[in-house]
Amino acid sequence: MPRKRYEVKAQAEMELNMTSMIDIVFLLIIFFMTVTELSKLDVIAAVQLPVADQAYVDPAVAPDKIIINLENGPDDKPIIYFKNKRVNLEGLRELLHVAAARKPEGPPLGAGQPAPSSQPIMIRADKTIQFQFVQNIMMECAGEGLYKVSLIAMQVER
Amino acid sequence: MKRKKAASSESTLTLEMTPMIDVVFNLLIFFLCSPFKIPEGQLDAFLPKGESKGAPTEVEKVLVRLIDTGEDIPQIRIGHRSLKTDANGEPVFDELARELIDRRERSKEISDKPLPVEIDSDKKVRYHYVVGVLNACTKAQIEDIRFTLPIGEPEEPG
Repeated sequence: MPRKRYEVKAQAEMELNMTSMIDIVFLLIIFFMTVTELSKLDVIAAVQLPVADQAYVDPAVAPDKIIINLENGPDDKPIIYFKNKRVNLEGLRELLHVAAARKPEGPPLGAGQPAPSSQPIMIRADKTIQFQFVQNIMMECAGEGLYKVSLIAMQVER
Repeated sequence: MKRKKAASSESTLTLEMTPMIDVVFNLLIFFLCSPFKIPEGQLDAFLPKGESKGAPTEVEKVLVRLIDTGEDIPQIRIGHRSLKTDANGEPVFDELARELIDRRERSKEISDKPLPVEIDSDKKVRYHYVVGVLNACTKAQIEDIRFTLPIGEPEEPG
């Protein structure tokens, strides 16, 4: 009799508590999902985006896309961020040159033209900055053969 | 024996607080983290891949001018016509989209080639008006969008 009772007790202690384990696993999943989502965003919070209802989300966009943030700085001049790092126009030109060389798409299409590159570039510019500064960035991209340039906008007003 | 039975039924009635709190915390974290999904989208900037000078087409291009008036709101012109403004003096971009759809339909009768639209903005025009024009072009399903190259030296950003 006493032996039997002991066996039953030991079996009950060995049981795995599934509820708490699933809870912890879910917590870990949510934690890693949010961390990876957040690390993917090269977002400067101070940038107020323009609104465009035709802006679309491309599900096939490459994870190695380059985001250039343009924040409205003092004296109506922008502050440029390349992958969240502050750069000047010279520095940006060099970084774009390196980025374009990493993803070549073929020989130049004409004499004196840069070789096209398939590297996607996204420009997140503040809605109040002067267009000439965005145009400068677009021209720098075109000058390096980076033609897959998109402008980021909010789909709805917030 | 009778007493023992009563005790066991009492124990089944107690609420299991630990898993409930776990699940509530899980749900809390999930709903706290879900607004991180930002409603951002992209608008293609249609940079030229090779030739930067627009190839001659038989269809006459539509020129959309954004003229800096010295005020915050620019004057927008399609060809020779000024775009309507609302009560606050803001341009009505839906009107621009309608006009572009109309012109695209008319050009279809003349040629199979897509109607080219050129956006020519003054340097100091605020960026969100240019995005508004680009948004209207996208709404009107214009496939050939170009930006006019700026005249003169670009201003250095801050």
